[in-house]
Amino acid sequence: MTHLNRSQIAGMNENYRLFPLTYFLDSMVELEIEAIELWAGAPHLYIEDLQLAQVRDIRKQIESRGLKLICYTPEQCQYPFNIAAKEPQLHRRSMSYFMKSLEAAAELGTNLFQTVPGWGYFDEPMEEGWERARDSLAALTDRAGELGITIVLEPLERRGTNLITDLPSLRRMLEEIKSSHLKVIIDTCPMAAAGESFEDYFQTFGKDVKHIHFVDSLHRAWGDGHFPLPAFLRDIDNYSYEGYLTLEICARSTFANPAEAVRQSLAHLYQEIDRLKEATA
Amino acid sequence: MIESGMRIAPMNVLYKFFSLDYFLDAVVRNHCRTIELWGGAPHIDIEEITSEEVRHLKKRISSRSLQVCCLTPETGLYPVNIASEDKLTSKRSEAYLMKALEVAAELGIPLMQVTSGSGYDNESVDEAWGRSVDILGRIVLRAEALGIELALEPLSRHESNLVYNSATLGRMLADIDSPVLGVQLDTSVAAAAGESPWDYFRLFGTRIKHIQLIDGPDGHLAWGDGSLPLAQYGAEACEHGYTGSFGLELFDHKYYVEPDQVLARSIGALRSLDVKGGGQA
Repeated sequence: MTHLNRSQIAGMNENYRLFPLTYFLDSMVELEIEAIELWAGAPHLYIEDLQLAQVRDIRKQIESRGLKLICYTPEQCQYPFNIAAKEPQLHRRSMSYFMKSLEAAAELGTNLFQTVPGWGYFDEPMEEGWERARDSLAALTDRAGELGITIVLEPLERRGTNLITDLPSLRRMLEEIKSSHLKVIIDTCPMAAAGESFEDYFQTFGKDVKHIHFVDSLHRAWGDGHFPLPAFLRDIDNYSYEGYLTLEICARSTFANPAEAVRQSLAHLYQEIDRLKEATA
Repeated sequence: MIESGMRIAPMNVLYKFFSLDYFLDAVVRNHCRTIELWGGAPHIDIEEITSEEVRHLKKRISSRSLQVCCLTPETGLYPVNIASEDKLTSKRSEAYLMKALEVAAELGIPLMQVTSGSGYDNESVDEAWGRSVDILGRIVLRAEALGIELALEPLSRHESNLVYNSATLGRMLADIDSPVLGVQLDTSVAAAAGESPWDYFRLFGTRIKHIQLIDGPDGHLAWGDGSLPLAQYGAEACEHGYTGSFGLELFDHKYYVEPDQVLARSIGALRSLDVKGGGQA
């Protein structure tokens, strides 16, 4: 029997950045996607500028359209923020950005929050950055717990960090922090870059896999890359994954017509999910 | 020849995951004497940097007998947009560039890069254009007072609907109408827009203040990694009497782990060119 459902597919606003947030929300309604993940970045939601009242207005915009926010993902790869930053000032600024982001997530009514480990200088010993990342994550996780939020931690590719780049380093961090509010998110891109599979993740983390960023290679729309979609879906289905699969499309070539990239992805995904259902019916 | 090392200007964005000192030492090792300074965290967090830190930075540069041809504050990745309709964003973006000008002045850098920002793709370009003109106009006045020249760089069409090719660049120069505001040519961005240095020289002549000589057109690549005719570009620049530096604005995720060999390769390619030097060579 197939567990996977179309309603587990979530949309995301990251490739709608040349358009206002309301344009993205309307687009989700039009594409009949109910679940959305909010990328918190300019111009949609840059938390350093926003007041909580404005965050409440965003919540209204989401809910009045019948949409459901399933995860809050602050921009953290492009911006200066790095929870493992060596410079005390940059580290303080980064922590305040994340703490404020957690408040915003709570205000928006979601209980899932995505974070990456940050990075240490590639010309300093890895352990130094690791310790900074661990202490920062522990503090963020404590605050998340108070707010009823679970943080999902995502490895990055080696080219973007020297800290958590694969399953073993992710497991090490989870074991060092040991919190019921720190869980796992799989992103297809770093997973593939590390030569790992959904099976590896589910076998190691089981139900602690709370979220998936589900995109074709290089964060492209499904159909534009080379990832094996049928095999991916079959693996996810085999482990009865009940969370969401977010279309985290970031390819710049989709910025001019973001809805088309989502439409194309949905067509591929729906087709494969239907096939899966037929095959296992 | 571009061989003296005076005109090739490595840029620290390639070393964004390394300490700034590591980058500066790499420049010295490659016998270059000029750098283009990328203003981005953690090397230079424009919004946060203090005068004391700027003085320290100046010492780190001058103690290695390096000079800075241009300050290029990060605007593409950061939530900076002078054309934003959001008042807080435009105000913060203006303050960011004003602060960058102060940093340039304290470091004795004669030139700073600026970009137009962008409006929403589904809204009137004219209004966003007007907001960009207003703020750029004020930046120009401040730069003039500080004795700094500005180089306006077109963004890619994926980033902006305002200044994204030589035609829109010419229109902005006409609207601002100040000798302080010149042109920055990024060979990769130009090629992506279907243009070459020749188009720029024909249109802007000596108003070209700075060239980023990089391979492309898909990315900011080291020479040999793209498909652009480096020798032809170098010849075109020198034929037109360009005497400025050639900034190596190389950034691509695949370069970040081992930037040393990427930098050495690019410098080697430039030095092998038989291009007649300008005034500084």
